[in-house]
Amino acid sequence: MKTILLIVLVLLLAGCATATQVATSVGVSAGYMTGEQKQALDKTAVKVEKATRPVSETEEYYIGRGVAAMILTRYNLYRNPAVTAYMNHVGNTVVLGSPRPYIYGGYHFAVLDTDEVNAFACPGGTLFVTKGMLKVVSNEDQLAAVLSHEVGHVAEKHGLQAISSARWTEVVTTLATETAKSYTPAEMSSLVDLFQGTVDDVFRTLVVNGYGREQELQADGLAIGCMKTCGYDGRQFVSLLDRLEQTSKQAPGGIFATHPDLSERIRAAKGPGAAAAKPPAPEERMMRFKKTALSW
Amino acid sequence: MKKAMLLILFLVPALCFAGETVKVKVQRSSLFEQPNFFSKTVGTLQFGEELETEEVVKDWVKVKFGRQRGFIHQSALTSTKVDMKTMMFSGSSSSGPSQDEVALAGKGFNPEVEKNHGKAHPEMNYALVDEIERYSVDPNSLRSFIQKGGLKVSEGQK
Repeated sequence: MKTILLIVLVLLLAGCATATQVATSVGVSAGYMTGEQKQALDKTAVKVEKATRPVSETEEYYIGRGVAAMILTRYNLYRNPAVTAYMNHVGNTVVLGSPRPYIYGGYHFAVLDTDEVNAFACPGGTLFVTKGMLKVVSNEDQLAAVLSHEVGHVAEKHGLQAISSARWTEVVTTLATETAKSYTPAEMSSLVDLFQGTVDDVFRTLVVNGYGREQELQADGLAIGCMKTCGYDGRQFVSLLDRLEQTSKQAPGGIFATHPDLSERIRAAKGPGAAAAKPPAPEERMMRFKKTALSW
Repeated sequence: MKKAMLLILFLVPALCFAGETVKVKVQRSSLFEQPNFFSKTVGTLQFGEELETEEVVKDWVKVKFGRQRGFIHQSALTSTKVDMKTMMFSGSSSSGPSQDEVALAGKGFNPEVEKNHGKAHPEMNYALVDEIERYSVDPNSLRSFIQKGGLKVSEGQK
């Protein structure tokens, strides 16, 4: 009896509904549990499995749109067609070298009209870079470094990891219990509240608290690999971090409040796996950067 | 021994896609003649469409879609084996594209929830997000940008 219950408990915790159903059937056959107990455990197993499923690609997209809309309540969008075009060309180049080039709604790059030095990667692929950050980068390879790092956060779904597990369990449980094709006003109100809470969770991490040390180092590693794949000079990633460290001494706040330990990231980027020397960038790459940089 | 383990690690993901039915999990994706982002496009695939896989080439999967054959990047695909499991437990019909992705396109966090969220929080400017998403880079323009800048395109990571 104890063994059967233990197996059921382990399978339940693992979120393995099918196996739990098999185990409970054995339990009923062996006379260790009643049909009602089996039914209750099976239902719980299905509920646990549903509650532990990951965020889907489409959910990621809509959460990301919410986060982007919230960021745009704090910052103004910088509308300059030449800068937007250039950002999206550099951004989409590094996307092709990333581990996740295709996402539900594709990647989109935009500039925020603020002198604060910062960059944000919303889940679902909307990436923001501030004018302040653009003023720090001194060539296209460094811009590619910023964008690769942010694409790395999206590829690894770091933003989604900010969603509180209790909230996500509630979201999934709510969705699992609603069977009608359309929602009642009360159901919709509940979903809207959960959506707002989910967006808040991600926004706080992106804008207020910042990612964890491991996530930043992981995004750095992906960025260097991505730059190498695309033909950008990975050493410019270290140069960018150096420039950011210098800037942080003059203008604290923004990215420096949420990314405090730049020196550790510089050490890691210079460590094993560091980018090898490359010949200078072609004239065309340098000129198009200089030309566009005049606008920011 | 280490080499054998590495080989298994590389082969398992590839075999997961070979000879099975998969679905498109992104809004849209091109079907390419060759396993390359800038190869000739032979068709456009939409979210939820089912494809039969034939071959895996690095990060690309050769698929059959109706009468068309071509390559699609593996990051745009999801295995329907997962979908069947989801459907079984959600009690939804097995007909049509009803895996969790597709089901959630109709339920859960969807345009309807976003619309109501926008009404409840008028400060959230979704029109600006739409404006950002409307900008798209023409593949020919991107290819030219890459070539002129002395850059290159990934041929896959496996």
